[in-house]
Amino acid sequence: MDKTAAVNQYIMEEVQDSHEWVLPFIKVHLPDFLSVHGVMLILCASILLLLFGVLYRKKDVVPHGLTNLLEVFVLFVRDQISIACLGDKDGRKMTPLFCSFFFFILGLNLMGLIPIFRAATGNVNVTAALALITLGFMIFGSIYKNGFIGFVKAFVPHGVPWPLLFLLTPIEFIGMFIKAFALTIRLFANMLAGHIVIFALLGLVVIFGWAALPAMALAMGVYFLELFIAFLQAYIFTLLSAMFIGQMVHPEH
Amino acid sequence: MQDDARKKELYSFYGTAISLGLNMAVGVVVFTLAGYWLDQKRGGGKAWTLCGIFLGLFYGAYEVWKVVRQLSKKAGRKDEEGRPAA
Amino acid sequence: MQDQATHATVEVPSHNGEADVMAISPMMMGLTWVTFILVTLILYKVAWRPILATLERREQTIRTAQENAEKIRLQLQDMEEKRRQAVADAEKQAKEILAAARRAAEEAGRVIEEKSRREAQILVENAERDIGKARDNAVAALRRESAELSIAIAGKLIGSNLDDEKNRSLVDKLIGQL
Repeated sequence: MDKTAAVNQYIMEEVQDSHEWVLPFIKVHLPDFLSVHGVMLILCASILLLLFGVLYRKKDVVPHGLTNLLEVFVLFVRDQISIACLGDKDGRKMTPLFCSFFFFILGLNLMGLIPIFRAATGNVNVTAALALITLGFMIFGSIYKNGFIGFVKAFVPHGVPWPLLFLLTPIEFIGMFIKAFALTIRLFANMLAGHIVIFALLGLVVIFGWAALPAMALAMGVYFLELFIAFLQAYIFTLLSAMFIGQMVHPEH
Repeated sequence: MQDDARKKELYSFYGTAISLGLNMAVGVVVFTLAGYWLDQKRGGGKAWTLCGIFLGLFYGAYEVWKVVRQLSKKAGRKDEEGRPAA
Repeated sequence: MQDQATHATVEVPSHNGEADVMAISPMMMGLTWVTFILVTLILYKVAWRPILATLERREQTIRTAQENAEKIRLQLQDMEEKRRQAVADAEKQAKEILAAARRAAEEAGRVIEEKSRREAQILVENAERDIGKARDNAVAALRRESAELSIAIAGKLIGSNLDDEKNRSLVDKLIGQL
């Protein structure tokens, strides 16, 4: 029981934000304005800048290696997410935002899988902030594109008898916030849950000793699953952001 | 251009399908919490919480209805496409 | 994944750490915004715009190349068509020329044959006429010779001159009876 409690505590320390960054031999105390997840954010931003600012070679006519890999992702975001959800014209214009979303979230997700780092996307504040950016684009993008009247009209559902509109229009409006909230929870919960599962499986070894060794194999499996989910969730967050913005900017016709 | 529109519609459908489950759950939670908050503000009672739960369920049902409508619209169009060929 | 999600949100509050994972921290949100917006702006300048421009340019190049290839293919097809047409034309002309030449040759041969036949006929007719004339002449000469000979013989026989007109017709009658 004591061991179980210790494992529980360790898991919570690992997945929660704190001001103490535990490295293999030292504990780094961080100032009040910066938590471990904050460090992760800044690190991820630096890595992205390094990746795209320095290592990516724009001059290549025929891209090789890393340049090629990054381009594949950029193309994917442009064609399969941005243009697919927003149409050709707006899609091309909005691609940079979705590229940032995708690579930023992917970077944070993948960093969470490196042992000494932590998953900043497992922090609800981070995902909420990102979802709020999406929400902001949903609201102000629609107002900018269609005017305030058009923005309000986007909440009026089509093909329902008119008395229902008095009920459905407010529900659609609240639905917009629910969608953004669900976006927050989806990313946050998936990343958090994945990490908790891995740590819990490893914790079994601590609690039950050698008998639980097969759990290590399972933990490895879950780790690779997490690797996939890091990409999947970055994709889903970006896709849903693009889709929600698309639905608000080009309401149902 | 038509291909583009179809792709957009397809992605919109996939996205709705992906987000449906969690949307429903979050909808129920949000409406219920809003009802609970209203009850607390009104000084006890359970009426608004209950209202919130039902509204949340209604929201979920509404989201499902939208997906079903989209599906049936697609099925209807497929029928129309199939008819001249058959 | 949905299962895990609900699992996590349900299970987490039961731990010792309370519901800390759901704690709202304005500092963290603010930091996320600042980082994300900065990253987006810098990358927009440094990466996204140039990358997207490069991609579009490359796509344009590929599209142009494809269009050119298509154009060249069409031109080749056109040329091939023209070539085939020209060969067909030449063949047709050659055939026509040959046919015309054969017709002319046949015509010429026919003319020559006709002419030679006519000439041969003329020659034959001339020869026949000559032969006829010669025979007539010969007959006439023979007749005259024989008459004169008969008269001479008869004159010698009867000793009188049978040179007059009346005798001569008599002798002719005799010869005719011979």
